[in-house]
Amino acid sequence: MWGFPTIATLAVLAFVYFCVVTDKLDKAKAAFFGGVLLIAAGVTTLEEAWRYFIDFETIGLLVGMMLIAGVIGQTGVFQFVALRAVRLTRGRYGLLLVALSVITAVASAFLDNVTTILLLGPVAVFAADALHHKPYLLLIALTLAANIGGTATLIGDPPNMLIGSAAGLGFHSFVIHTGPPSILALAVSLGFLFVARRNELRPTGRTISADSFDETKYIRDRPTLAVSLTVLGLVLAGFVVLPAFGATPAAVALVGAGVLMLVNRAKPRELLGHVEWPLIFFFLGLFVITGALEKVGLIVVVGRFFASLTPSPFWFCIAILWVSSFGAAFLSAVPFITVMIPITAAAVAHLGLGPLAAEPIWWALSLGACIGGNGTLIGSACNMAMSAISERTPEPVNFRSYFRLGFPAMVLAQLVSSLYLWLRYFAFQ
Amino acid sequence: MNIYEPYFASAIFVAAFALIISEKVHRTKVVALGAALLLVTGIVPLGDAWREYIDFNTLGLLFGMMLIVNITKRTGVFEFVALKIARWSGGSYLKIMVGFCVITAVFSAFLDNVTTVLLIAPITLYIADLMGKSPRSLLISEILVSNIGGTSTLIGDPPNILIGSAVGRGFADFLTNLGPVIVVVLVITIFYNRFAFRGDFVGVTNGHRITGYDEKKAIHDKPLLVKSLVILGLTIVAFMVHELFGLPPAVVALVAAALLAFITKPPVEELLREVEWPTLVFFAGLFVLVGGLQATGVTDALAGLIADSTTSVMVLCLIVLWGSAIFSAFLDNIPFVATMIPLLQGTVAQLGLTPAQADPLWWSLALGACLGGNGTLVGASANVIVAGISERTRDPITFRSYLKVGLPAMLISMVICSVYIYLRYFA
Repeated sequence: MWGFPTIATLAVLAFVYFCVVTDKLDKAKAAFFGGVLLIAAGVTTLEEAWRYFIDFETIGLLVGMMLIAGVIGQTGVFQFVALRAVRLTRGRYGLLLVALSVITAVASAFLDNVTTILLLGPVAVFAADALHHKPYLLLIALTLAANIGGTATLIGDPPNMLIGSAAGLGFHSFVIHTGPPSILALAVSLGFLFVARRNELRPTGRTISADSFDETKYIRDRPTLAVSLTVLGLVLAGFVVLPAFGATPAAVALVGAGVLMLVNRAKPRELLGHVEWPLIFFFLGLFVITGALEKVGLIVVVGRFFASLTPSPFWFCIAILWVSSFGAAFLSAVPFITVMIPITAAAVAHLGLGPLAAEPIWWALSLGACIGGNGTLIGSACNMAMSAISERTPEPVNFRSYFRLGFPAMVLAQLVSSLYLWLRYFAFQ
Repeated sequence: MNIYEPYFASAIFVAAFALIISEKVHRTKVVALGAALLLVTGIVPLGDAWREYIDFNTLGLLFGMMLIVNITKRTGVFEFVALKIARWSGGSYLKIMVGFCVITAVFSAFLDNVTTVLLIAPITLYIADLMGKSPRSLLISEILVSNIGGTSTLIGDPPNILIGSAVGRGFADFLTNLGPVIVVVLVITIFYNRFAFRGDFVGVTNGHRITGYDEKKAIHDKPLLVKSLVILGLTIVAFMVHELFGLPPAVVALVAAALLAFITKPPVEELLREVEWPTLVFFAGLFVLVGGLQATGVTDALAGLIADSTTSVMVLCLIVLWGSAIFSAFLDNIPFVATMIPLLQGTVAQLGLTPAQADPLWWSLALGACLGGNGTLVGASANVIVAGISERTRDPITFRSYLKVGLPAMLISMVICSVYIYLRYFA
């Protein structure tokens, strides 16, 4: 097992993680080049990579949803809703934080987290400025909410898409199983912020004048908004209904995107521009590298080792939750989960668990990777997006200032998640 | 599979084709929706679409070449070469025409034709303007030779990429089988241009004005240029020998693109933004549409028809050659070739031909589909692009003015190809 292919694959993997963590070299280039290198070196072949390693379900789902979400985001509806919330809360900072966080969480459940932050972050900065508060607290709250919101649905966060595809779990499964703990996690995380920063969140009597902004001018294109929301609705309905006919979520999303492309006046180039191609290529590279890891036999070894460590499925579940929380927090959720999934699958197989018995383990993995992304600034892509937005403010969020709030919030949320997992899946069985 | 599926798949295919031809809807949107319909009805399950029908070799090769071209374009090397030629010509219009024709053909063999003409056309306009001539004859000549040059290699024209990937023919195969006839066609065509545009060769040319400037100013980034040229050179060598290492051309292109991407300064987002995503999505969707025909057995049935009515392989080759040329002159050759490939594969299987016996069929398809694009102004994307560019000049290329030159040139090239195919594969 420790021949050239294994060493080469591990080296490439280490290089990719290095790029992710230090942000020295572009990670999409690193992963894609790494994958191509492994093919050229003969560790795997292009055909094998395409046919067996690359998870077309996830790629198709990502592309389809990115297109739909991009069109919706462009309509300005999120800014509208957020500013309406600012208006309605009349500037009470604590209430505003909760309202914007909930909006972010809901949006993030259906859009990808990065887009959500890119759309709502500026609104948060605007509101904070108008109330003479430093925006960092609001931005961090939105980030926590975005990651947690993304945990609640199949399409909310790439890790869930990967898990859904690998374990054959559908849209409704996620909502039923990861939805409730997400709500709990959001409550706990926000609660922590209120306790930790209670001075800042106390009412100050300052308000935002109602005339200082006009949220209606954000909705620039009502027809497109109506059409794209309809398509989204149909796609969500399709997620629930069509699997009975054998259609996978990716197929549904691609059909939705195809329909939207047809009825939207914009040119394909513009519509395809909504797809975050660097992320897609990052995934392509990661899939090839992970596939190579499986091919050389490393995955099975690690998975078996993992499985042998814990005395029972319950403790294995908890272990998965915490290992993936820390893994996502310090190695970034997406690259971590891509490797973690086959390891988990190998462990599950080694433990001899059937699909139904294995489900709690997948939910633990989902909660761990998605909510774990809240742990540090590099834990999730939307955290970095938030950091970029905060750079333009007088007191940008850095690794340390985020860590002081995000990490404890994440740990508390995961404690609650652990309790949830025990109560729901193991306590009364 | 129920009995309606073949009809449904055929209906979707025909409707998509019609919409593409009518140009009322953007072709990417058309195939995207068509493919989506096939996916959701289960005629083409997503897994099959990914694993069987979407040709990742073609997509990978196209993507890799797009990246390579985008990166080297920034260095200004193409403008540099063209201006060097202008200097070499010393003001002789004949030398300009021959020189530009040759470099257009050579570039076109390694880059896609559209990029080649996009790079050559502005310089052509500039040079013609300096010489006080209308650029029309030069532009038309460049259209002709870009399609011709692109036929000679695996990577020169999308139909070749499709064919090469489907039947497992490599870079060297294309070069050795099509190279010879393309050289002949190119030489004859240049002579033909000289004849057809003889009016432009009389009169005063301000030749001296061309030699008076510095082509080195075209180079934007010399270190990058050198690095890119080295990698390009290695890439071409790698293409020629890829079969020895068992590497598909797509991998060669992707490795080269990755190498270039690492040494270039532009960020990956910019590079990826410049990639022709609509084109790649168009190909993917097209593959699914054709896959629908394959999955439902339509292509096999049609192939059977062809196989039953074939008297000799040579006659079939000539029919494919001329049929592809005529089709390609008026309609987009990519969907045509994408459909013909499984059809011919089925025919070959049903006739029980060995790969060596089937070879001439594939070369006929390649020659016909690529060279046929010279027939009319709408025959190939490069033609349309140049026509668009020429519209901004005082003497734009019209459909008719092109037809008078292009159609005879295409027919002449088809005669040459017919003779070549007979002599090389059947005599």
